[in-house]
Order: sequence, then C-alpha cells, then structure tokens
Amino acid sequence: MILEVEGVVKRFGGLVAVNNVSFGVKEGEIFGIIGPNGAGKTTLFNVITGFYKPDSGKIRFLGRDITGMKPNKLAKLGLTRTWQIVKPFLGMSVLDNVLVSIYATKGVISGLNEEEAIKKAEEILEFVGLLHRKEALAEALPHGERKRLEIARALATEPKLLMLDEPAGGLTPAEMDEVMEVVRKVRESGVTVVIIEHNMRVIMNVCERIMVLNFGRKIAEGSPEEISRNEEVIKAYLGERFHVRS
Amino acid sequence: MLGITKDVVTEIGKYYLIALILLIPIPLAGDYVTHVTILVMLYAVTAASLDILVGYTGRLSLGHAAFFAVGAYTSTLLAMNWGVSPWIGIFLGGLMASVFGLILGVPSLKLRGPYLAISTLGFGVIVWLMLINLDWLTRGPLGIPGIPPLPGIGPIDFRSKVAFYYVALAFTLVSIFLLHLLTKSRVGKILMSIREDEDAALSVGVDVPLFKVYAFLISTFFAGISGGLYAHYLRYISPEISTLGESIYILSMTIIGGFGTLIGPVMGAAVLSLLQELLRSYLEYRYLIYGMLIILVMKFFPSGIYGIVQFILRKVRE
Amino acid sequence: MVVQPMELLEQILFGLMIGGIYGVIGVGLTMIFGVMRLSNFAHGEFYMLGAYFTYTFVTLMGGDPFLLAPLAAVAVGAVGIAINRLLFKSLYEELKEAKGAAAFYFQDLKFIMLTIGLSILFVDLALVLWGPIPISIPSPLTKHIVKLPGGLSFSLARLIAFVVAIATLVGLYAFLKFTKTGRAIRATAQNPSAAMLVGVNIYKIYDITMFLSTGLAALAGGILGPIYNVYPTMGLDVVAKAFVVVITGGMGNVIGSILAGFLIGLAESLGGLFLGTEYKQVVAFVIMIIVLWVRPEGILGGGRK
Repeated sequence: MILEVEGVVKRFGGLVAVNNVSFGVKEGEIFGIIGPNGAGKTTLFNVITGFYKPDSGKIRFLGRDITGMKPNKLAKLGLTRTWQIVKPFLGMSVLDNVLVSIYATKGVISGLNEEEAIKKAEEILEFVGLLHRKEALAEALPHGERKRLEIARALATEPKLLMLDEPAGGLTPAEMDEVMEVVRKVRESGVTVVIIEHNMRVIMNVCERIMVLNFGRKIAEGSPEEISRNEEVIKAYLGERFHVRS
Repeated sequence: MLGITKDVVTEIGKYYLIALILLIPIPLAGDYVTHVTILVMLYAVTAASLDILVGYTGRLSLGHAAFFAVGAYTSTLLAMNWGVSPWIGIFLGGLMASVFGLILGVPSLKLRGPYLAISTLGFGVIVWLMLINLDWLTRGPLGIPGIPPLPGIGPIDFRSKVAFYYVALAFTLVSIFLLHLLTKSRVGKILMSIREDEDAALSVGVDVPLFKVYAFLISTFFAGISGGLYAHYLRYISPEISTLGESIYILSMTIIGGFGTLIGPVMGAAVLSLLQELLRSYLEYRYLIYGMLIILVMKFFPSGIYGIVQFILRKVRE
Repeated sequence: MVVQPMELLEQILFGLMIGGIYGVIGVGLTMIFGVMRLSNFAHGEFYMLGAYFTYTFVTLMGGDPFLLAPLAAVAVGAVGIAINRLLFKSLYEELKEAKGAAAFYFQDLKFIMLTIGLSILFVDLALVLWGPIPISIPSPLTKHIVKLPGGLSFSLARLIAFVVAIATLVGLYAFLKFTKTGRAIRATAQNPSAAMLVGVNIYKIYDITMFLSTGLAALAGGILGPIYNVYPTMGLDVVAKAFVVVITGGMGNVIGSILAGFLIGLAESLGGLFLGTEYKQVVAFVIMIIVLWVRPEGILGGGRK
C-alpha cells in the first residue's frame, strides 16, 4: 500500500464532512473516489494533501505517518495534488509554471542546474502536449490546456502518488479524452493515481478500484463492475437520478 | 547560482551600463539638479525594494517608510553615540531594518489583502510614534541635526554634493541591479508563484511562509540602506520620514510606476519626484494635481508608467 | 501613579463618548468593505467634508450645526454615490470576469490606490476652498455646561453628540435588520451572486451602501465640528483609527465595529490616564495588532473574507 487512510474524521462546526473513512491505495493503480455532491470527497482530499488537519485518524504514505503534514512537505515526499478549479500561475509563462515545481522540490540553490531544469520542464510539457505553448502566459490558455498544465506542474514535482481533483471537470468530451490519455500515460510511467470525479464515464473507464462516499461515510469499495452492481451505491448515488426520472 | 545564467546578466547588465553613462555627467547641471537626482535615486531604490513585496510576492505594505526610517536612525545613532563609521553603520541600518521586517513579517504571514495593508499601516504608525516618544534616544519630534557625513576617502570629501552623488549613483545602480537579478532568479519566480496563488504554490512544494519572510528581509534591507544614505546626505532626520504619508508616497511610486516590473517603480520615483519639483510654484494646487494623476493612472493605465512607456514604444515600432 | 476615582469616571465617560463617534465612523468603513470589498482610504475625507459642509451651511443659512449636520451628511452621501459610479463601478464589473487568486489582490491594490488618490485630492480641495487655518463651527450649545453629581461636568454639545451617535447606530442597526433594503444589503454582503439570483440589483445596493457609509462619516464630522477644530487634514488623523476599529471588530461586521468603537475609545482614554497622554495614540494600534495576530477575523468574526 502506497497510501493508507485510517479512520479519518473531519468536522466543520457541527457538520461531519468526513466520518471515519478508511481505505488503501496500491502502488501503480488508478484509484477512484466518487460520491454525490457534498459527500465529502474534496474535504477528504484536502485532509490527505495537508490543506486541512483531520480531527482524528491517521494517514500513512510509503509507510510513513504524514497526518497533518504541510502540503509543501508532502510534495517533496512525492504526494502531489491538482485542483478541481485549476489554479495556474496566470501571470507567468507556461514554462515558468512548471519550473516553479522543479525549483521548489529540488531546491533553489542546490538541485538541478538551469539547463537541466529547463530540459526537464520541457520534457514534461511535451508529455502533456503543451510544449508548443511554453512561451505563452498561462492566462492565454483555454480551459482544456489549463487542466493539462495543472497536471504538468504536479508531475514536475516527481510525485509517486498523484492526486487529481476532478481532472475532467468542465471539459468537452474531446478535451476529456486528451486529459484521460495523459492520466493513463502517467500511470504507465509508474506513478500511482487517485482521482475524484463526477463524470461516471471517466471513472468507470480509467479506474481499477473505486471507493464511494455518501454523507461523509464510505459506503462501498471495489472494481467498477462491483460498484455498478452494488445495491447501496445505486440507492445513494445512481438511484436518486433514476428516481427523479421515473 | 539561483538560476541566474550569464545570458541574463549580460542582457540586463547592458541597460545598467547605459544608465551609468547617462547619469555620470548629471553634476555638470549644477547643485540643484544633482540634489534632486540624489533624492530621486534614494527613493528609486526604496520603491524598487517595495516592489519585491507588493509587485512580486503579492504582499501589500503601507508601512515601508518605517524601514527607511529604521535604517536612517540606526546608522545615525550608531555614528553619533558610538562613533561607528557610517560606511558600516549604513549596512547595519539595513540589517536593523530587516530585523524590523522580521518583527512585522512573521506574525502577519497569514494575513492577506486589506488585512495585511492595515496591519502594515499600524506597524508604520507604531514606529513613527516610537520615534516621537522615545525622545531620550531619538530627540523626539525635533529630530536629529548635525549627523556626520560619510567619512572622506583620501582627498574626497563627501560633504560635497558631487562626491556624494557618485556614492549614491553606485549604490543605486548596484542595488537595483541586484534586485533585478533577484526577480529573474529562481527566488523571483517562486515569489511570483506566491503572488499568483498561494495554495497552488504550496501544493507544488513551495515553502510559502519561508519565502514570504525572505521577501520581507530583502525588501526591508534595501529600504534601510537607502534610509542610512539619506541620513548621512541631508545630515538631519526627524520622525517625519516615517509617517503614513511618506509610506503612501513610496507605495504610489511603486504602483503608479508599474508594480511587478521593478523598473516601473524606478520610473515612478523619478516622475513623482520631478512632478513635486515642477508643481512647486503651484503650491496650493500641487496635491490636487497629484491626487488626480494617481486616480487617472489607476483608472485608465493600471499597468502604470512602465505600461504606458511600453505601449508608446510598441506604437513607435509599428 | 495615583488615580482619583472621579478622574477615572470622567475618563470612562469621555472614552464612551469618543467611542460612540468611532463607532459611527467605523461602521461606515466596515459596511463598504463587507458589501463591496472596498478598503476606503478616503473615508476620513468624507468625515472632513461633513464638517466643512456643516460649517458652510451654518454660515450660509444660519441655524445650529447639530440640525444642519444631517443635511451635510446627505450632501456628502450624494458625493459618495457620484464617486462610486464614476470610479468604482467598472472595477466591480471587472472582478466578476476575473479569475485566479491574484485578481482579488490586484483589485485591492486598485481600490486602495484610487481611494488614496481621492484622499490626497480632497485634502487639497478643502485647503483651496476653506483655507489651512483650523476653524470651529459656532454653536451656542457648546457654552451650556451639564453638571453631574460628584463634580463632573461637560458641555451640552458633547452630550448631544453622544446621543446623536447612539441614535444613529441604533437606527442603522434597525434599518439593516428590519427593512427590505437592509436585508438586501446583508444578502449582498454575504453572497453577491446569490443576491443577484433572487433579484437584488447589486449596483443599486452598492450605491446605497456608499451613500450610507460616506453619509455616516460626514455626520460624525458635522456633530464633532462644534466640539473640535475643523481643518483640511482632520480626516487623515481619523482614518487610521477608523481602520483600527474596523479590524478589531472584524472587517465587514457592523455590530463588531460598534463594540470595537467603544472598546478603542475606552482603551485610549484609560491608556492616556494610566500610561500618560503621549502613549494614548499607541494603545489603539497595539490593540489592533494583537487582534490581527491572535484573532484576525476580529473580536466578533469577519462578515466576509
């Protein structure tokens, strides 16, 4: 297990956003987290990546306790996230966006020399298909390219585990396929991936195992087929939609 | 080092060489022009140092004059009470300003936007009130006259405006060049990422609090050194140099000049200082025009004088 | 230092009176921050204009400044609306389009610089129109002395200023709480896009908020005019204090600002008594910095971040 989450609880005032959730992610897999709106997916994500401190529970990454560790430390250890609402450094060039990750994780004074750093950044941009835009300001990119820049910037930290928060959100089907292609390539290069997604097509296509959250609790875990046949999942997640339609 | 390549140094360096050549003959224009240029240069360094915070790191500061004043008073008091040579005292004044930068910077790490603006404003006011009230040390509102000049080197006497001018020129070009290199360096890019989005910067491994503190240390250091030079040039200082009005004056140079460009604030310092001189004869309406100018620039050219110059250059080329 | 009980009581009363005025000025400042996210560094100049308008009305029409101050407040409020439409409206529209965390920062910078420009312009305008010499607005009420048991006494003008301040604060609170417009203002402060969805015209709300905010500052200037001197830079002396009140109360929090006004007024008075008058000024800023560091959302929490 590359990531182990044990009994994590996160409260906001009286609201329990994440309630005693435990799961594990195996090295090399693509693991999906789904659930209806407000199920606590993003909160769980923020807890794992160090943006929130859990009220109780333990998180281990590569066997090491990382509960409450700061996000920048986690990125250096090899656990990096992206954002549902993409946060490119709009006023900086695409290349500089990626270089920041390299400087931040490899060191500003030590680390790679400038030529190596730029070479590495360009390789990553090539990998996500953005090399031709490297001189452009990030604010000039359309939404689909910003999503790929977001992934490139995360990859530049050399993650062992990449956590993607709705990487296909707000994309056209064509853009979505491009992003998913990148995600598959990332996994092939040996990086473990955790995805939160709303889009069922994406999740069912790309994930090997899926966990379902509802009202902050884990209600199921298994392969895409198991999940799509699970009674409770259908009731909680898919069911509400069928119910509305019938 | 820090991602600064030789190419960058030569690319920027040539502009500083041109500036040096253009500025060397200034004293030929007489004492008045020399005097005004010295003040412009000291303000230019202060405004450029503020740009590291305001323009590059996205940390608004309304108390920058306080650090200028800390530098000025430190060097002055060291020279007058302990006989420390101003050459060393000015440097120590910069360090003391950085210590004050740390005192303000660390506790305000989590504050953003207007909260930070007002916390820095409050800090500036506190420094001003301290300079006024600790009169056993600072002589209070009367200020300190008779500050020793920079000690002469051989036959050069720095009480002369011309001699001091070249000290100020060297200091200004070196400081702005160093700050300019900083903005092109790895540190500069990391600071910009903090300005663009703190959370995103954290998520890719940037130690955001640490770099914010660096930005405070660097920015206040240069403001402090400028203050020290100012003290040993005018040889009189008073708490007036640390008022909110003075902080706002420096901030408007940075912003009207074009924040986040480093050279913009330098232009801002020149334009606003010259404007002050030109409007001297319209004493009554001086601030009316000054206020109007700030509003017009912010409203129609938010990228500042630097943006306007670039716009004109582009038109000319076409 | 030995402090007489009477002296202490006098300072407490004095602190409460000043606190009421701080409240009126601070509430206006906190409202435009809460509703429009605008940090108005020209707020003090609306206070100054209120005093000069009152003075002008008194010299032109005759009559008591306490009666004419509300009229001056309305006039200054109209100036506020004009400035809002001329200078700020396009910025609200820009921000709606903007994306990214830095957009908010640039917006703050623009607002701060624009209002600093306004502040400089208004101070000089007052200098040109009314001259640099401090004036005082004549009112017969300043000569009436109210005597309290125990030997305490102060002028009727001060008492009226205090009563007007309290009445204004209560009135404002009732307006925000119980009227339809008041509810719309609060809804806009909490969530502008949701307010728009339910049919609130937020630009009208911004106008109203600006009117109230600048009008309140002007009213404070008008009723203090007969008690203190009126001079062009009087707003600069007050604006920093107003921000202290707003931060301490939680930016955007109306009740917080009112309480903070009294707290700062009292702290200053007592600080002056126990530490000496030279440290009176420092007290407010020290309180603010402690609040910012310990509880940046203010004593009652911010209305909007």
